[in-house]
Amino acid sequence: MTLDKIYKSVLEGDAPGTEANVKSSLDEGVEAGKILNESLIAAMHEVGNRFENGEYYVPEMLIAARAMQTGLVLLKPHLVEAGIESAGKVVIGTVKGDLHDIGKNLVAMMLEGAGFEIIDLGTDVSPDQFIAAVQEHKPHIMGMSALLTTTMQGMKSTIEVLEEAGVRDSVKIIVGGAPVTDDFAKEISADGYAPDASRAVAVAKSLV
Amino acid sequence: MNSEMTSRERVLAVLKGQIPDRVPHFEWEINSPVVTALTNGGTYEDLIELLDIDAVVVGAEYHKELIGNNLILNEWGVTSAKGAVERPLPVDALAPIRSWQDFEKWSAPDPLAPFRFETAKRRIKRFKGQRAIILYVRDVWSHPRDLMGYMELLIACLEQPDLVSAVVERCIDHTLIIIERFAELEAEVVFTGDDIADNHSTLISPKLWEALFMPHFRRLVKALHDFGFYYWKHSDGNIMPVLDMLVDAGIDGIDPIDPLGNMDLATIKETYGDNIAIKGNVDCVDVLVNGPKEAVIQAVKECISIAGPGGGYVCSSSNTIHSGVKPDLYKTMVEAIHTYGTYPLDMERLITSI
Repeated sequence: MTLDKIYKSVLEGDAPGTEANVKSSLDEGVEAGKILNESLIAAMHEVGNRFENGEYYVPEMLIAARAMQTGLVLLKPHLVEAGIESAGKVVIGTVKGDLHDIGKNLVAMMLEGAGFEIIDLGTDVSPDQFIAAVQEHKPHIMGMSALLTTTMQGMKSTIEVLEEAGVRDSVKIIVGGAPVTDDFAKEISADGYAPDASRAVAVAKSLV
Repeated sequence: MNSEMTSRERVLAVLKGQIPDRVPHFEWEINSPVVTALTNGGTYEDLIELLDIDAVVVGAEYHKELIGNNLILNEWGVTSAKGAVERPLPVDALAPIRSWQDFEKWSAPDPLAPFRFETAKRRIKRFKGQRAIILYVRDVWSHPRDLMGYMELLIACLEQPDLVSAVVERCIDHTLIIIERFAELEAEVVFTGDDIADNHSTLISPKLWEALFMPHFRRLVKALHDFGFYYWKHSDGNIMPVLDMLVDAGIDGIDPIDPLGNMDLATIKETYGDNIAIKGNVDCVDVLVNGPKEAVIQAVKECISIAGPGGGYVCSSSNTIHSGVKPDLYKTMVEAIHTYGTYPLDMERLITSI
């Protein structure tokens, strides 16, 4: 019953409600993995559906993600204790020279809401910083975002630098951002492209 | 149709729904590296004359000061970070308005500070009567976004709607004074560039847009018309969910019919072409960046063949001439508009591939 309440509170973007309901569920002895999968992740999946269908817009997505994160903070120690692994590890950032972060943040939130572990490198991330993060965190996926035509070329150069460093094949690369297209993603040899945060989840899942 | 129109007459004809002598061309923004390259170190004004661009954009100036190595504080109290290859971007974490208390302490800049109009006055003096003078101001979204922080504004639309509305109202109060001053300076067209959509859809729901922003938008449009301005609205992205509202509010033109947002020039022409002027949408993400010249010419021909018939159309880039656009390709675009955009349009020539 509390799982339904968590699900509903995430959909409604009700962070205090989510926090209270997750606490109740844990107190009742519900397994952390069950809470994660059947309420938080399920709710964020529905948020993605509603976004795609035009029922939700960015604000609704943001407050749902905020509620989900509130619950996830409470769950994390229990997930670790239970040995439950994430759906995959994702290093994500906006490429060098580009300070835009909202698109990247939305993707990170939706991936987190799908059970991925996120290492967010922020904005204006150089190829060397991406390489360092790949070497340190050994992610399954590396996500690059760019909002500008001028900065999206940084995706190509980052992939080239990863190749030169010999780590390109250790990670799947997904790209996105307003000027980025599927054709561009293929041209620069990225492994995946998503036109929005919601669809980035499906792409990421297909790559792990 | 007048065969001896000035640039000004050409642009105004489009806004009046008439057929000009030639499809006009202008851009809201031409990045300085492109200006410099094409004019051998000259100015924006020099480029207007060199390429015979039909409108010149003017705006109010706001002072900025450097604070620290990488941050810029403007008169609005907005702190921006300098990027390597773009204009400074507001830092959400340093946004000045987060609460009613912040709002009560905050005031907009003095709209009538004398320095605010100096560059505009020079431009107007140089081009008045010859080229359309277009005033750039912000409408209902961009000031609140910068003042409250981007993500914070999006959330506040749901959680603090009264605060959002109050911020918008105070910003519009400021803008209307700027507009009145420019009416005295005899600018004739206003353009606003607030991006209210991404490629997927509008950032907020049409319902929220109507409830929170449209009352202010309508107030702005009415005031613009009362001052005698034509009004051209720009937004990136897919604005289809709110376009009817914007048109019903009385906008006179729409731009740029963003291909990235799946905005279709033919659909917009067919649906709205009898009521508003249309401007766009030669691809500035790939074609104007990578060329070749033949692709630019072909893109211009396609746009004119779709949106040119019957007038009411300005051929331009699909957003701006940003720093990634190759100067020669922009020049090619303008020349192609002049070559293929003469009325009566030679449709056979336009639909023939080069």
